[in-house]
Amino acid sequence: MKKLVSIYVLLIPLFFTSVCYGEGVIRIGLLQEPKTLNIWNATDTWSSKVLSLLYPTLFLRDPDTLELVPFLAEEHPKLNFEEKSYTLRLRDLKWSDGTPFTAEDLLFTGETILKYKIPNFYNRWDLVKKIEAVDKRTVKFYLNELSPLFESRTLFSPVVQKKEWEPVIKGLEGSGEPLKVLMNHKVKSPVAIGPFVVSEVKEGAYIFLKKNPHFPKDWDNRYRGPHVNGIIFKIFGTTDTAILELKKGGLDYIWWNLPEGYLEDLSKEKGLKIYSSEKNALYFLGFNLKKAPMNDLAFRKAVAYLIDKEFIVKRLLQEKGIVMDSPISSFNTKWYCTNISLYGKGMSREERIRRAYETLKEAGYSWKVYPVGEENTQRKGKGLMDPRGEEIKRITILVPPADYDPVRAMAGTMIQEWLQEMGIDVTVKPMPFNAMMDQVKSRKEFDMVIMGYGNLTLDPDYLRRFFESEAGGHKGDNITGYSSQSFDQLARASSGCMDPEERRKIVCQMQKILSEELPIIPLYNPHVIEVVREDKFTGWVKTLGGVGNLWSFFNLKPAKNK
Amino acid sequence: MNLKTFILKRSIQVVISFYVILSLLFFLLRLSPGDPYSKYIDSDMTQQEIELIKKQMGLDKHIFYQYLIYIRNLIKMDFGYSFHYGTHVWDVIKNKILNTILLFTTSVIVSALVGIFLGRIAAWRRNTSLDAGLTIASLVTHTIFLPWLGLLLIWIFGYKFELFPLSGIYTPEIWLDPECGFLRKALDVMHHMALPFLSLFLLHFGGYLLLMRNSMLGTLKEDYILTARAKGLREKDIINRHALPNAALPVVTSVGLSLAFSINGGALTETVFSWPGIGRELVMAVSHNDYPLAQAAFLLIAIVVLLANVLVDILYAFLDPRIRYE
Repeated sequence: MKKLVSIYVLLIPLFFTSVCYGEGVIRIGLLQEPKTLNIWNATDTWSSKVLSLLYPTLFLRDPDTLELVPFLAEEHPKLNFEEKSYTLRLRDLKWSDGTPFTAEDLLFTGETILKYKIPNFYNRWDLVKKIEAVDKRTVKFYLNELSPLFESRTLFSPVVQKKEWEPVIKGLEGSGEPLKVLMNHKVKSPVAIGPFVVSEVKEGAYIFLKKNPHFPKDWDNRYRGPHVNGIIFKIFGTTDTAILELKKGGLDYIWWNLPEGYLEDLSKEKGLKIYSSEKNALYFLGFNLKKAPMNDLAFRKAVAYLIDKEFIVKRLLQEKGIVMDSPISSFNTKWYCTNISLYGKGMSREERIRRAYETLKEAGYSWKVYPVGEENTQRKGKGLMDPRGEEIKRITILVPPADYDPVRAMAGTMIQEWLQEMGIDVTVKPMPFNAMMDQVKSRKEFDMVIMGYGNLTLDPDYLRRFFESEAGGHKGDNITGYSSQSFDQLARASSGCMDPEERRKIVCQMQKILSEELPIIPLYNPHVIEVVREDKFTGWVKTLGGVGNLWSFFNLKPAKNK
Repeated sequence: MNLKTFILKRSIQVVISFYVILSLLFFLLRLSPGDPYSKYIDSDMTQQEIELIKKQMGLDKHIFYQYLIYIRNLIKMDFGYSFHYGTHVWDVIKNKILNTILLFTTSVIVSALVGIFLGRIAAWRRNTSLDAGLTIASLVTHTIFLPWLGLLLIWIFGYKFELFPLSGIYTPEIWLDPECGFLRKALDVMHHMALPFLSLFLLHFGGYLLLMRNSMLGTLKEDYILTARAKGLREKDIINRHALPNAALPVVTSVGLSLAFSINGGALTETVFSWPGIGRELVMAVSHNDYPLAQAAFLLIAIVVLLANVLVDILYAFLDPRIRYE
């Protein structure tokens, strides 16, 4: 034993010998191991982050204006109304193995997705009836019906190399389970079209991407990169160790959203910079409209009056987020409309209670102990009874546990308090995320739920998915069971409307209906909080969703005063 | 009953236990909330397309039919593909299990050796301040909350004094450097192993120490120890040759089973130290409803533990001539 200890002590100096490798290489922390480098199976956040640097999409969003910017495409697509087609010219690019990027690659990608109905990609392509190569670098998409969704979906499709994937697809012929075989295909080093290419993977530990030698430097006037030599993705089990590693200098960027609790400590550290960026998310309180009293509009309106969203954003999000009045965020000015009904905005707690009380009383509700007395005096209500005089049974609000999402868990507790003041017997039930989703989406056995969508598209088509009657079935995204003929008509009209002005009017009407009928109460949209080492690399580009984006990776440069 | 009959009988018991475990495992995993195919469903997919995905994952058939397929595949030693990773489950397990064995098996062996050694001393010097110190220290470290201990060690030795890496198993810069040879890389792994090893050691050695101390105290009251003393044997010989082999018997069982269980790693240790082992993988497999991976990992643990039980029983007979299989 003594010998072993002595040997270890003698070897200690070796541990601290400097390592020169890694000059100009940025080190990024990931919370979990990316599960695959096979793009078809990359359904997890971590694989998507890594693969986004290998497989950029045909178009990107401008970091400032959020308008479409051609990336693999050379210019904006040309629309032919008669043919219901779009013609797209591709950029003169090379794959990481040096072969040219052609229309055949895009054709192959589209046909593969459509043929095998590849999950997570199929909905980007299901508008396309046929795709043909006009010449080596021009592609024509024929659509089933003209739809504005083509631009927000199909143009955000990645492209795979035909040469790499054609033998795999040929091998699927005769297989009883082609999609399974395709998704389980092991990819060690994908042929990339983006600025980086996989160099080495140590499972569970790190992924090293090096610069794609065939990627052009002059593709954009503003961001002529990449200027870094490579990226090392390190896998961490907890935020705590990642933050210590960042503070110690072993990490340059943590590529996930940090809880607000870390901000004070991090803001004191020299060389670190905290970015708080908007993201297109929606966190809401959803009602099960198939159950009483949630199926009563007056009850839902009373709940809406009682919820102080400003308080949630101020206290729980520490003002790192915005209040949501509509399922569309207010910064999405192209689609957000102000013609919506607001409940309790700017009101004091007393005013909120009075408005909720009046709403319920007008609808015929009564109490065992009234929350508002004869002279407008307020006290804790008890025993809310429906218009038939029957006491309302205990209502449960499902929330994910605090270790999964502390803000949602705490928001649930606050809402419980506010509703109890009104005499509504309500309790919060934290539930493991999978179990909660099973209960809400599959079995529809819930009263109320606090749910969130963390990464929505800027296009408002998700309103159709969340509230259209047809989406209310088993595992459908319409979890509340909301059904409205007028909304359904508008939703269908919206997804087929090619006139942006006309479409905006339709979307505004949809938002108005939702704000009046309240199948959900939109609550908040938190910011993405990220931390970087600005003393090591500069040039982070802040945009919707944070600084972890392609623009940053083009623009980053080693800091001069390093 | 001779040894052969005993082994045969125990083997039959192992097979029955294994069958019960694999069946329970199959149904329990499927009873857990959630499903493995939801993440593959696009909002625009029709019910027919959703059914196609379920079919491709083999989840469209009746649960008992799925069970029969599972048994058939097990007989063929085919554990299938992980739903999450899309690779064969053995590829996932084999990449992680070596890391787990390296950390956890080493820590069990070292903590057992140290625990037995110190337990022997504590028993021999019972009711002294050394005994009290060792006992209290063992109780404290054995009952400490592991994530807290792990983070504390990281903060002190990794962050404040910068003696050890904070987490992970490799320093990418070393492993990517073509000039770094095998020794440098091996030392890098040892260096990364120091803190998780220390936390596991602190957590486990106390258990062995207390077990050894109690067993030793019982043994020291035996008549044959009194006889040995009466014969005028040296104290060292009494402890090492007469008391220790007998007192070590319960510790052997404990160490044997701990070694077997060490292959399932520990989700908490592996998470806190970002150690890419099987424990974290198991927890992830269950939370992702990755039935093939969770089944294979649990079955591997079950079979190792069952076999270790048999081996410990056999070992007992060799260590203690009083024990016969009757």
